[in-house]
Amino acid sequence: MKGTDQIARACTCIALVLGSTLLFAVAAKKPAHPPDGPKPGDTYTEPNGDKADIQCVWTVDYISEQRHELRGERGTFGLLLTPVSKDERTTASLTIVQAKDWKTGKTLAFASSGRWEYHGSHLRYISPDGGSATAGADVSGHGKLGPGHAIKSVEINSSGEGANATVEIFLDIDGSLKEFDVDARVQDLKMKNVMHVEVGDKTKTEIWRAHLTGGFASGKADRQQDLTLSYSWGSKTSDAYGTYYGQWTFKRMCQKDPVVPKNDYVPPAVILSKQRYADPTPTPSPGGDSFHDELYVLRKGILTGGGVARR
Amino acid sequence: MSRATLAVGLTFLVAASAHGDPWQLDKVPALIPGNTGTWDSDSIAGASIIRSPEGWTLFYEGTSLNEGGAHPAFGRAMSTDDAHWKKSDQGLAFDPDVGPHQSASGPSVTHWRDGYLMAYVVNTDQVAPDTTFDEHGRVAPVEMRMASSADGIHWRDQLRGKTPIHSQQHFDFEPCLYADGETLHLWWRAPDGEKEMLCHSVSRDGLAWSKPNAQPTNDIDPFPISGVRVYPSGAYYIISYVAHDTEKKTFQLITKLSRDAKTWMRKGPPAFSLPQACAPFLVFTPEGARLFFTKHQRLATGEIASRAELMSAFCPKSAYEGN
Repeated sequence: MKGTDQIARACTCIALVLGSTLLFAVAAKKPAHPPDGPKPGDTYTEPNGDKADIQCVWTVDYISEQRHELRGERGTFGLLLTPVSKDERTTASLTIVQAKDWKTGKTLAFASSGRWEYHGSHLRYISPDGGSATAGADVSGHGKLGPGHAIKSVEINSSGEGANATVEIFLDIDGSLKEFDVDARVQDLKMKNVMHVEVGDKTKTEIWRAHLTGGFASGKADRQQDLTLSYSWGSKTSDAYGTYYGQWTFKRMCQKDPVVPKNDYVPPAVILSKQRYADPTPTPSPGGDSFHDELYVLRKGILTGGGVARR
Repeated sequence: MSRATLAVGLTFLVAASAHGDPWQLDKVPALIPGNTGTWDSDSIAGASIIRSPEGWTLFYEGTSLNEGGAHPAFGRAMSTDDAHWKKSDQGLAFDPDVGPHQSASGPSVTHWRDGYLMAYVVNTDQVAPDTTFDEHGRVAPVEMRMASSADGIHWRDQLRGKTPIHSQQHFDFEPCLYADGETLHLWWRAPDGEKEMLCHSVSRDGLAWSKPNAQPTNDIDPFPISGVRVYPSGAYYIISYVAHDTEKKTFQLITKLSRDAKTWMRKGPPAFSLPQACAPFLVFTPEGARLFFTKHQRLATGEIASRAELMSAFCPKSAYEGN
C-alpha cells in the first residue's frame, strides 16, 4: 500500500512537472512583448540626428479586387486573340509614424515598413459564346513597401479643436514601378482552326502587375483619439461603377497625455503624510461579536502582561 | 498620384446646369454621411420617399466601412416640405440579416394597408474566397426580399412568399415597389439573353406575385437604361430612368408617361444630367418635381469612390406643364 502511494505521488509529481513544462512552452510561444516597431511615446531619431517624439502610429491596410472577364472574338478562320480572364487581389499593409520634432515642434509623417501581396485566381479563357477553359494555376507575388519602395510621400493634417477637430491622411504610392511586377505562367491557347477556346500543351509566361494606388481618408477626431478611417472605391457587388473594389483603412493609435482628474485637488502635505492612504479605523460592532471579543481579550492580556483570562 | 491631383480628383463631379435649365440644383445636399464611426459614415444612396402624416418620409441606403469592406443598412429621414430633411433620431431603421460576403441594397418602400412594405435586394460579393463558375458564368446569387413594418420605424423580414427577382448570376436589380389601392406593383429591370427587359408584376397579398410582363428596354429608350422607377398617376404611369450614352459618357434622367405601360411618351420634367449611374427618385407636387439622386466622389484615377451624398434638384411645374 505504501509502495502504491509512493508511485502515485511520483506520478503526480511527474505530471505536474510535465504540465508546468507544457504550460511554459505554450506561454513561450506567445510573444512576451508587443511586436517590434515604433510605438506611441518612443523617441525617433531623424536621419539628421534630430530627435522627435512619436505621437501616433498608423496601421494601414489596403485591398484591391478586380474582375477581368474578357471574351474572345471570333474571326473568319477561328478565334482571334483571347486574353486571359482572371480575378486579381492585391493587399498591402504598412506602418506610418506620426512624430513631433523636438526642436521645431513640426509634425513629421513617414512610412516605417510594409509589405504587399498579389494573388491572381480563376485564370481562364472565355469563348465568344461564353464557354470557358482553365488557363492555369493561381499566380502569386509579394514584396516590400516602405521608404525606398514606392512610397512617394505621406502627409497628415490636423485642424480644429474639440468637436470640430478633423484629421486627414494622404499616402502617395507609385504603383507603376516594376517592383510590383509578378511573373505569371499560363497555358497557351490552341489557335489554329479553333472556334471555341481550347487550351494547348504549351505554356507561356506573362508579366502582370499588382494594383497599388495612393490613398486618402479624413474624419472628425480629437488629436489623440484612437480612430479608424477608411476610403473605398468601386463595389464588391454592383457593376454600376466598374468591376473593381478597393479600400484603404487607416487605424491610428496615439500616445495619451496623463489624465488629470478635474476638481480633485489634494494638498501635497496630505499625500506626503500618507494620511490619504491610511486604512480607515474599523467601526466596532454595537453588540460585539466573538471575533472582536477575542481580540479585545488578547489585546488586554498583552497590555496587562498576562492579565486575567476570561472564563 | 500626387496630393494635388488627389485633392482635385476628390472634389465632387458637379452636374452642370446649363443656362436656362429649369432644373435648379439645391446647393445643400438633402442628406450627408454621418460622423466618423456612425452606421452611415461613408455614403448615402438609394432614396425611396413616401408621404406620411407628418409630411414626407425618406428611406435610404447608408453605408459604413470596416476592415471587411462596406456595410450597407437602411435609414430613415423626415421632412415637412420635401426640401429639408432630418435623419431619424432613432438612427438605423433596418439592418437586414445577410450572410458572409453578402450585402443589402436598393430599398423601395410603400405604404400598404395599415403598414409599410419594403422591397430590397441582397447581393453576393463577386470576388469571394469561394467564388465558383457555372455554365452561365460567375456564381454570385442575388435575390429580392420583402420586409414589413407596422409603423415604418421597426422592420422585419417577411419570410413567407417567393419574390420574382432572383438569379444565380449577378445583375444590378433595382426593384421599384408601390401600392395602388389594394394592389402591389413591382417593377424591375432584368437580363434576357443579350437583351434587357423591364418587368412588371402585381400582388394582392405581398406573398404571391403574378407572372411578370416584360418589355425590352430598347423599346423605351435607344440607350441602355438603369435606375428605373415607375410612379402611379391617376390613369397614367410615369416612368423615370437613367439613359447612359456610352459614347458621350453621359447619364441623363428621362421622364416619360404612358396610359398602358407599354407605349411611353416623352412628357414631364426635361432631362437632367446626372454625375453617375444611380437610381434617382422623383417626388411630384403641385409646385413641380423634386429629384433626389446620389452623387459619388471620384478619384483622380477615374474610379468612383463609395463616398456619396444625396443631392436634390427642383423643376417647377411650369417648365413641363402642357408639353
